[in-house]
Amino acid sequence: MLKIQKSYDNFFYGLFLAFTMIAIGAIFYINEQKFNRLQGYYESEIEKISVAYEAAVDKYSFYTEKIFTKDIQTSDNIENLYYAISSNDETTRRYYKGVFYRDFYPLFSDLKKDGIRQLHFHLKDNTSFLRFHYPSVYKDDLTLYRPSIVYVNKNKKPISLFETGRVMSGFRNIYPLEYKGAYLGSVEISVSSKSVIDSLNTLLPDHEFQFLLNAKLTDFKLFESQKHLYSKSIIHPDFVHEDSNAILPDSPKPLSQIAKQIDTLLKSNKELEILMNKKEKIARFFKIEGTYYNVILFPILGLENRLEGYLISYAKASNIPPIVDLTPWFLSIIGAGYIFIIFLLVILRAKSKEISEQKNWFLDVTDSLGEGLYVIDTNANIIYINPMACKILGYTKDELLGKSAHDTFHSHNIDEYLPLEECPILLGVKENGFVQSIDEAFLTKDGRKVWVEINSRALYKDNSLYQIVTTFKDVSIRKELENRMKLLTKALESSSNAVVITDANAIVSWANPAFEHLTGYKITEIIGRKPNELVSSGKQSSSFYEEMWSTILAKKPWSGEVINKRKDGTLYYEELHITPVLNSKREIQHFIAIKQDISERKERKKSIEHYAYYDYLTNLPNRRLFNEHCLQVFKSLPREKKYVALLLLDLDGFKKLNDTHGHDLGDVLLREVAIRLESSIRAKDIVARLGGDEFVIILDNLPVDIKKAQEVSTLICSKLLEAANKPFSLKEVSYQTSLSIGIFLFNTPEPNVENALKKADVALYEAKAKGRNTYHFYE
Amino acid sequence: MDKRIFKFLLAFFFCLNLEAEETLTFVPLPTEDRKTIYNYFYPMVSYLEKELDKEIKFVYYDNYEDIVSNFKAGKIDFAYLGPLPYVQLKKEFNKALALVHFKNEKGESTYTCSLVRTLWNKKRQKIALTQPLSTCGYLSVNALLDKKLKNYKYQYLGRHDLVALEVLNGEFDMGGLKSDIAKGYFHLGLDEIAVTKPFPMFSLIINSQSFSSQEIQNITNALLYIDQEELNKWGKPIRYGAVKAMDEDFNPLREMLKNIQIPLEGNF
Repeated sequence: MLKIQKSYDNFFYGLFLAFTMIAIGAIFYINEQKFNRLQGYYESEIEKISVAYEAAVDKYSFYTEKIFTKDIQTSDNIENLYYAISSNDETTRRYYKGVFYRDFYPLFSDLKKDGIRQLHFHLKDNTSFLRFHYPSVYKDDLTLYRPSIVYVNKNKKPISLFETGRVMSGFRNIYPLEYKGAYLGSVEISVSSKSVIDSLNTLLPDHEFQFLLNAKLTDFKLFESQKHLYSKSIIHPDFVHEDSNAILPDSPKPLSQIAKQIDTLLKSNKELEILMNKKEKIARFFKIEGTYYNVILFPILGLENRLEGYLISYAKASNIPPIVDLTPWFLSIIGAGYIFIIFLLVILRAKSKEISEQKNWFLDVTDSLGEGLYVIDTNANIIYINPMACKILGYTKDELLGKSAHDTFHSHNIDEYLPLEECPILLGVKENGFVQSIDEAFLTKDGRKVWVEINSRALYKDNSLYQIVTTFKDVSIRKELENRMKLLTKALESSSNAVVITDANAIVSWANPAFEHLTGYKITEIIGRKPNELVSSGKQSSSFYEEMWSTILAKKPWSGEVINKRKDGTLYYEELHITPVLNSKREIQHFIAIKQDISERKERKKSIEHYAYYDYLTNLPNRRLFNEHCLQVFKSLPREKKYVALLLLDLDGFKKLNDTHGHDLGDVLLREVAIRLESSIRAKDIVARLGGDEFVIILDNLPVDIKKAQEVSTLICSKLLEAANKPFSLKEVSYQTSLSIGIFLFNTPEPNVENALKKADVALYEAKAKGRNTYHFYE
Repeated sequence: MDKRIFKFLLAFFFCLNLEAEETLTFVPLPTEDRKTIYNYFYPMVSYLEKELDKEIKFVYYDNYEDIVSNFKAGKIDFAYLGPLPYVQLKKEFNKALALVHFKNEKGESTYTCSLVRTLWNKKRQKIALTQPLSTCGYLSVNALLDKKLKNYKYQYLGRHDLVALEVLNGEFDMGGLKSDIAKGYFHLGLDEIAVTKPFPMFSLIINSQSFSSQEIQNITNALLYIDQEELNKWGKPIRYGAVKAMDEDFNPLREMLKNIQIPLEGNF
């Protein structure tokens, strides 16, 4: 998801970058066009100023050359100069210098009228000889201040250039002077800046001009009294204005307000300063109060290409390239367009991001679904499948995307191949718009069949089915659980034991049919009630129930036997197992009670216990019980003064009966004999069957006197003999028998029962020996 | 009238008055051409502006009489005048006050006027004069010519340097001008015929009405006690320092003026 978002971001960043590049490119293109047009415009303006400047300067150069050639060099007055310089006598020199001055003064007056500012003669040692414009100042050494004069005096060649000076700066036309082959020095005919500006104004009347002087070449030259006329330029700190306020009459008029405004606009422009330092020709334009103005800075180079100053031209710009005015519009349009596009992109990106986030969210949701989800087209080809679906089916996403869901994993719980046209999911969705099934089966990659519960729905576009989205979940476990549950339920239902399930309050929520059978209550009668309300017999004590509840409430199983009451009021033994069922919080949620009717078992147990001490045939005490009783009697003898008689009885002719009539008849006889024996003795006496036809009787508490004890014993034996002599009706067979009785009478304990019986048996032998049907005392 | 309006108008006119008082006017004597004169005095004017913290306007008049009349009219606060113009001004306007005399390069606080001609012209017919109220003008030349100037042709040229130049150019045979200025032209063959007695050097004159006594004292001190470095910027006539001027310094000149009527125009 993150990858998708990133790719979206990259797409938008790409678009943003592309539009930014286009906008920058367009801006560059327009600026390039503007630059090129302006360069052309600047070059033409610079060229115009250059031509005008050269024309103005050349005008004076030609003029001064003519003056020099015709009026100075060839003048007779040069002779006076020669004498003024070379005469030995000072007065003579003064004389000729004065004459020289006087004779050239008219020329100087004429020159002034033509805009010539200075007429200055220098000696060959570079000292000032005569300044017609400042005659009282002379003899000063110009070597340091006026390199042009030094150049002319050295090379004896004329020169024409701009140069700053001690009194003024201007355009110097310097010529070497000779007289009859002797080099006298030089003469300088200079034009003031004002004159050149005036000439420029004649050529370009709509322009305004000023000169800036190179301060480094100017300041040190000036007479101290002149320095106040120079002020630092605001355009470039290394340049100065000469009499910018036009204090002096021959100074150019002060700049107009517009020009001053332009100067202010050029102020502190480092780029301009650098260009000026490089002696570049510079052109700029400014828009002031709706009008374009040109400013051209034209370098004035002096000797050895030294930058003497700059001529600055100011003029209204009438032919500024239209692109200058249009550029802001173009840039605004580009800017607005760019902003608009970026704005759209931002919105689009936000929307896309929102959609992407929604999609991501949806994908996250579907990816994290606990159910499988896949989307197919109408041909069952998989368009999307979520991880859970892949996990259930055992495929990777790439293995499934584009594949037919029907061919790949639809099983429909049939083993044969089903054509796509018959796919129940597709058919169902096409017909009804949806399919829901809890018994669908899919095939996993490894061929396993997975039971799934599916929910397929149609997606429509323009009222046409175009996709089907199916959610499914693996219900194999549930199915198995259900089967198990069914089995368990069935098992429980078919269990012979009654099973009752209650909630934590012992309210019955479920019971199996065995419960009905056990209690006689219908299940519907017990559901919602407590079992004890129906089956409690009241036979158990309250402590019994307390113990049971304390155990099961302690979350421990309890088992026990209870006597319950059926619906018909009969009681029964019940073996009860109660198991508390805990929930995840280990709280009791249910109790499961398993009840088993153990009445029969109880009875059987009783019977087994009975026949451990009684003879199963005659129900008389058996040898074991007789022995125990005998021992009890033996124990009582030392403390009780009495006689005890042990009678050992044997049926006469019993073997013969068995042999002739079978054991069944013999058994009947034994049971009948037992009954007669029991009825012939006292209540306190007991008779037991030792086995076969051998019985034994203990007569307890016989008198202390032996004779009396013998009498009682004899009496009882007589009764016994009498009872046995009576005929027996044995299964319609009448039978006559008798008894032989051996009697052992004693009042002291015998070592053991066997010992006593042996003594009785000895007596019995004697009785039999006496002919049977009699008794005999052991002697 | 509303008191507030009255106060506002009062403050407004007071400000205007202050503004008017802020700008002072300096006028030099036009002894030489305008540019030279400007170069001479502009540094001093700037210096005084700083000292007084007031703006000083530099005004150039070609005519001595105009200076005197404007001074009397209160339109001039400072003037650089020679002794004669000052004496004449003082005579008519007592508020004019000479503060200092400027010294020459020799440290002298007096100067002389010279009668000059050229080495090549021996004629004595036409004489160039500066101005009627110039000390070196009619008064000095007349004295140097034994009070016979009226017998010559003379013309007022205005400036001392013009006198020298016109003599050199042969327009005049002789001329009267300040000796210091004349010396600047000797190298061109100008020759000095006669020199007057010393006059008090040119002075800085103030209109005492324009200043408080403290300000007058401050100006005087500022001119008497000044750094040489500052002086070096000043023009030749004033760059060598100054001495305090006393009105008695002008008494000899006043004596000379007795019984003399200086013509205001030339005689040809």
